[in-house]
Amino acid sequence: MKVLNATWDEESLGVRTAEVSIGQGDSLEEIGSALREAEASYRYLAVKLPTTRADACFLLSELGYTFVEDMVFLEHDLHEIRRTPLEQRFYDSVKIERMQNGDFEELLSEIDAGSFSFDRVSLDPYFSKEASARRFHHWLMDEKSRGAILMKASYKGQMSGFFTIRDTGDGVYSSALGGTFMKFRHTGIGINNQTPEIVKRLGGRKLVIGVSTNNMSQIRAVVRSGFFPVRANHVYIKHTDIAK
Amino acid sequence: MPEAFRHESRKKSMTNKEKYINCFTQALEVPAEGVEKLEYQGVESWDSVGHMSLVAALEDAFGIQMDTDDIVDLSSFEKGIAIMKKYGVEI
Repeated sequence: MKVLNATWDEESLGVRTAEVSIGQGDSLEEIGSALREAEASYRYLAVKLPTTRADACFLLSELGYTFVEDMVFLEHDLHEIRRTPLEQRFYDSVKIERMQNGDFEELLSEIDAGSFSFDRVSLDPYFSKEASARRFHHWLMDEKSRGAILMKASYKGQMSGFFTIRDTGDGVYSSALGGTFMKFRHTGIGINNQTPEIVKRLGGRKLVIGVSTNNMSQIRAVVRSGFFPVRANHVYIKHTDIAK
Repeated sequence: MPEAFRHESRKKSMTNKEKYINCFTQALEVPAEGVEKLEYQGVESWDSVGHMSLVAALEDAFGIQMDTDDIVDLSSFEKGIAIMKKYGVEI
């Protein structure tokens, strides 16, 4: 079991934050004791529990933790994506390329305007939409500083969305962030998933993504593009100052 | 009469409005009741995947090929009626 001082989230959320990862072999006694100890030092705790540890759900509930989402991890082995003629027409209408500096500024404005609001923070009534946007903003800067490639999607010359790709080693790439811009929501354009093709062109062998079950439409879209689920975590949170 | 043939002849005898409603109910798996007020993401099934199924159903039912601009603009049942007019289909 790991209890990390999530300084990256503290900066965005304004409260001392811990990110707790429960392992397969952690006993209920160990989990309970570590969480009680962490609660004394942190105001916000996010606990990641493998779905294979359903036995610990009851303990987390007893300790006052709230279930907020399942995070599903999906992989793509970069096989050719089969598209219907209609999907191919739609796919061809969206251009994917690396972001330039001006594009990055546009993306940051879109984030700050609250365009990406599916994460557990934006859905938490104890956090503001601004805090959620700040978190997304910091996360993007962090991905960039770790060498992520930022790609933009354009429809008829207008930036319609973006995604990040980062080489995590051994030919495995992750795409931690991405989304469709506000103006292009409710257009169907989100069906276009070109990430596996880009990773293949970069010489990768596998692409890994994580999608929240609070964003079922994205799960449906990526499954349609040939991603398959490999594991999932239940995510529980606790605001210690509210619980007391 | 074989079932497939009966189904085809039933489809042929439908009005455009019936065919149009049918596209929504079949593609998005929603009841006909209230379909006229339907908007993108007004129901869980009308997401980007559902949108593709809906457009495919409309193209098939009316023998048309929609421009991508029209696919992007199809944001409600009502809006779709105006889009269909561009293809000579009166609902």
